[in-house]
Amino acid sequence: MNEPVIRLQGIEKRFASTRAVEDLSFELPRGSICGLLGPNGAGKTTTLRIILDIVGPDAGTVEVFGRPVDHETRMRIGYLPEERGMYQRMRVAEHLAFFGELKGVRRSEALSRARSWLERLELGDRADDRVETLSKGMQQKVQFIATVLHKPDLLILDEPFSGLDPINVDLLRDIVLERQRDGATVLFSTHMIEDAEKICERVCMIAGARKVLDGSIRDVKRSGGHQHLVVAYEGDPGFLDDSSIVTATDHGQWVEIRLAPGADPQTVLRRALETGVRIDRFELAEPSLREIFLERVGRRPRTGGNGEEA
Amino acid sequence: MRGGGPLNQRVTTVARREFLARVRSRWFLFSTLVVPVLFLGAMILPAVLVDRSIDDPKPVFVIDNAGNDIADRLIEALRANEIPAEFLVDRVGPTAGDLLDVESLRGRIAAGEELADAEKPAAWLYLPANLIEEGTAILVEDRDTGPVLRRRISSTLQEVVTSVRLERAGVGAVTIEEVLRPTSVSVEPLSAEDGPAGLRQALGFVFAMALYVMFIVYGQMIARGVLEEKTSDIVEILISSVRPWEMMLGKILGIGAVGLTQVAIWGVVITVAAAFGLAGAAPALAQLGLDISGAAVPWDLILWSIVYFITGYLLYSGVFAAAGALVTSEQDVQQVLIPALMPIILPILVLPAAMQTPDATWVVAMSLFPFFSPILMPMRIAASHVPLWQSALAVVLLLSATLALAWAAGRIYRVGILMKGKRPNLPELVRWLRHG
Repeated sequence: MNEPVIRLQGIEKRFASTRAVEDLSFELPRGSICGLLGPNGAGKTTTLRIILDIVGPDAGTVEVFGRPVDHETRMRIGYLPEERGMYQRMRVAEHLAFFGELKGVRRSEALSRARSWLERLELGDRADDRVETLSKGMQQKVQFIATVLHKPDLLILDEPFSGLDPINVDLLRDIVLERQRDGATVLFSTHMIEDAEKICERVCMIAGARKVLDGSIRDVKRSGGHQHLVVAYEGDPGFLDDSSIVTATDHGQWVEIRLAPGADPQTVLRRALETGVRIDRFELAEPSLREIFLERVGRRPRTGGNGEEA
Repeated sequence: MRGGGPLNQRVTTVARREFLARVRSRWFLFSTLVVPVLFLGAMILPAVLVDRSIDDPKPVFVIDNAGNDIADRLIEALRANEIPAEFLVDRVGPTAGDLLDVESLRGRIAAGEELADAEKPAAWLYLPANLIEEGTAILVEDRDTGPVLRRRISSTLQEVVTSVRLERAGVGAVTIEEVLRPTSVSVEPLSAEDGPAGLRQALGFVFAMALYVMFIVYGQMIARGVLEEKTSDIVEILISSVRPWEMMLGKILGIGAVGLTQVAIWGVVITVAAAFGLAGAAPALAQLGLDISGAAVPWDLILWSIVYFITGYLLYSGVFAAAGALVTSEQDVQQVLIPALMPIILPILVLPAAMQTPDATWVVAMSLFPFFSPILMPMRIAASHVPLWQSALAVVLLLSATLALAWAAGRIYRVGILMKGKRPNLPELVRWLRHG
């Protein structure tokens, strides 16, 4: 019952001379929502394509719903590719019905679902227009509907929110979370770490074709073993140059400080006040995903990782 | 409905989309309506034009150095020989002894000399003094008189000269008429239902050309459809729902259904047009040597043509689908299509020669070969009596080749549709086929 929805073991994939994915093992529990994070070119899209068996891995095994990907499993997946292609000359509702039908939904049922989805995404009046008349953002929403129309058990979304305004991002995010509450498992890739931090229970970070860490966000944040401080101040940043501070990341309005093991936050505060800095905010915090990511990826050579588990 | 059979729900869904997307397009409406009009026009127009060209008066003046009243007799015979009255044939001279050769005639015309007092002549028929002995006259044309008039003049002159020669030999006028009575060979088919042989042969040519055009049009439609899905990245979503072979088969069946629909509409339009209008065109067609009176509908030819359209389409469609999957841009399509089109173009190149000898060994061999049979076999069925085993064998060979090709095309398609960038070279293609 508790077997993972996705299980990758030792996946390798090369394209000509470049390594796209290297020794990737990864499990996604049923009902979870997981962000696949990594910089551009890290191998996120290739990983998703391998899960869908659009490209075959050079080595390793892929299991979805407990078995190798076959047609039955694909019918239970909703996939939103990063490159969003549509039949430009088809009418919106028919376009949706076509893709729903390919996923085994009866045509009449697919059509009525398409219309109610369009209604919900504020495209109800465009149902009978040609796709080519829609703006890019509208097309992206239509494509998103095509991904969820057949009520898939697994949603695989490649950069689902890129290029959308905040209102539409919220709209789609609500739908994703709603699907998850209904029991679907969600895996989506993004290079916007803040996106993932807001909605994910789990993350999997890859960089330079390798997995850097994965697990539930709580575990990931605890795994560092470091205490983090969030400090907002006015004045001379000299107090940050201290042996008890491992790194200080400037987020603009505030600084995220990673303390050395065993260091006391109070000494940092005392030193800051001694140097005459005015403190607006001083709190013990969990490390942000960005901080963890930078620690794991940004501060070492891109391909130099040894793939250790977090 | 989740079965994996060759006609499962996904294949029919893809096929229906392909069908509807095209049948609803403006292109379909246009080509379906315009082609029959052009087709009928192409058949009738030349005949009408030939008719018109005879009606158009083109004065020809006869310059007679031969004597013996040959010019008078020629003009009289021409007028008796269905040359329309407006058509002027008249005689100049023999005015003077200086009109001896064509060169001086040319010189005098060039100098602007009025050799005839009527309107400007289109041509001068020069009858030399030794016409009866040598049998050679010269038609000096200023304007084109056309093949029909030339043939009339030539054959009428032949008659006149022959009768003069017979008179010289002392044959009586009555006997001459007897000798000159025309002889002709009337060609008739063995079985009466076949209708006039000339018409069947012409139909065979028309059918072969129509099949050729349809294969090219629908083949390119497949290639472009595949390319469209590639360049617009639709393929990425399709592939997450549909197996590549299901995509390919659905596309081929959908576009094929468009073709059959179009043929059916054309069939109805042409039948209706024939019932109402073609009878009126019969005299014009007769001018071209086509006697359509008493022609029966060549059902065997039509049925075989449909069989070869379907089987030939299935064979070529795999080639075109693979070609579309191989390229990544519209410009590349043409390059890949040229080799794909070769097996379709070749039978058209040999078609005129093959029509003359439809049962020659090389024609029979070519008409059995899978890539050529869809075009050559209908032509042979029209032009000759093809044994049933041959037309059936051609279909069997076609279907076997289709299966083999579908296998290869499916593999190329599977790899090709997700490929971007550079077109694969031949060794890479072979690798796709072996590991695809």
